[in-house]
Amino acid sequence: MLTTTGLYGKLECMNVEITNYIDRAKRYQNIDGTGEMVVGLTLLGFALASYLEALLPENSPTWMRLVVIFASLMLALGLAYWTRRTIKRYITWPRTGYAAFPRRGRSWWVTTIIARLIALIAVVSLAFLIRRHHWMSMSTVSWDLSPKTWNPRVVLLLVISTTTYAIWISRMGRRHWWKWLVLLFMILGVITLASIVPGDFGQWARPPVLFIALLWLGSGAGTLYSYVRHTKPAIPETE
Amino acid sequence: MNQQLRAISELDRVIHEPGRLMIVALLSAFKECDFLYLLHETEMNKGNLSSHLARLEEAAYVEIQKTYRGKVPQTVLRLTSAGRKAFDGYRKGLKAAF
Repeated sequence: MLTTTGLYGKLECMNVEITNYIDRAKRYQNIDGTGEMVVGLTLLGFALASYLEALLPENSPTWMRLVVIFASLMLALGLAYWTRRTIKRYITWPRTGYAAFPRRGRSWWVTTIIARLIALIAVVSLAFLIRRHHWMSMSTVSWDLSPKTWNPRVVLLLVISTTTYAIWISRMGRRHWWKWLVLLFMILGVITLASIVPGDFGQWARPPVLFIALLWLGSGAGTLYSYVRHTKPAIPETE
Repeated sequence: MNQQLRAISELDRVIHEPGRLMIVALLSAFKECDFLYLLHETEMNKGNLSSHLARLEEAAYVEIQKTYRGKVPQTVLRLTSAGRKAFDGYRKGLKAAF
């Protein structure tokens, strides 16, 4: 016979288990690292757009710049879509099964957009605070790092890239401890690139964005390698 | 305590069984998935999983579709709207029992 405490414990356990199953199902989306590859390829598109735009003559019309940016992004997104589909079809589904996720409802989009706007406002405020602090402390404190490192735009890029990756790891890749090292490498890499690359924001942002894109791609490739190593294709037979 | 016991006794028996609860919870996160995925995630054997799915299909909670992916047979499973409703009701019932 169950006591009240025992009953509570059992019910609580069941509730936790249900949540775990649902979370596990959601994590299946990135079991093969395709989610990280999609993010990496999209960022690569931005980096490519930026580099190609820089190759254009200075007096080129705006529409030409827009065409270059649009073409680069379309190429990257197309490649991301094709990569994801190919990996799912030929590697993931034959090994651990096919699963299709439902389309996002309107409430999901509204919540996501609001959450991202709040996050953006928080990050921009943080960047301004740091900039103000930098101005105030410049006369009294001597920074060892280049002052450029503390440029608000560096902080903005650093905070956005690292928090996104950290959230991703904690939600999707709990089994892969090495991803925390990738995160550390990302932080150090962005700070280093920001302090050594000269030029205005347009020129400055290219190498860190390319670096972050390559890290996301590498992280995805590592996840895929680990997945392939730990699984094998199922033998088709009647079910 | 009586109210809690009543709430527990009103829980859907089809879903309440641990194996089926696992299947329904996993299916609730997807639009559809195949037999191989459930086999992999639940770690049940094929016979066990099939019998649970048959029970869920009998209760009209799960829709089972036999198809082919290329030349390979594939069993696609999805939670019906009745199944989704029953699962939501089950979770509410479980919370009510606290």
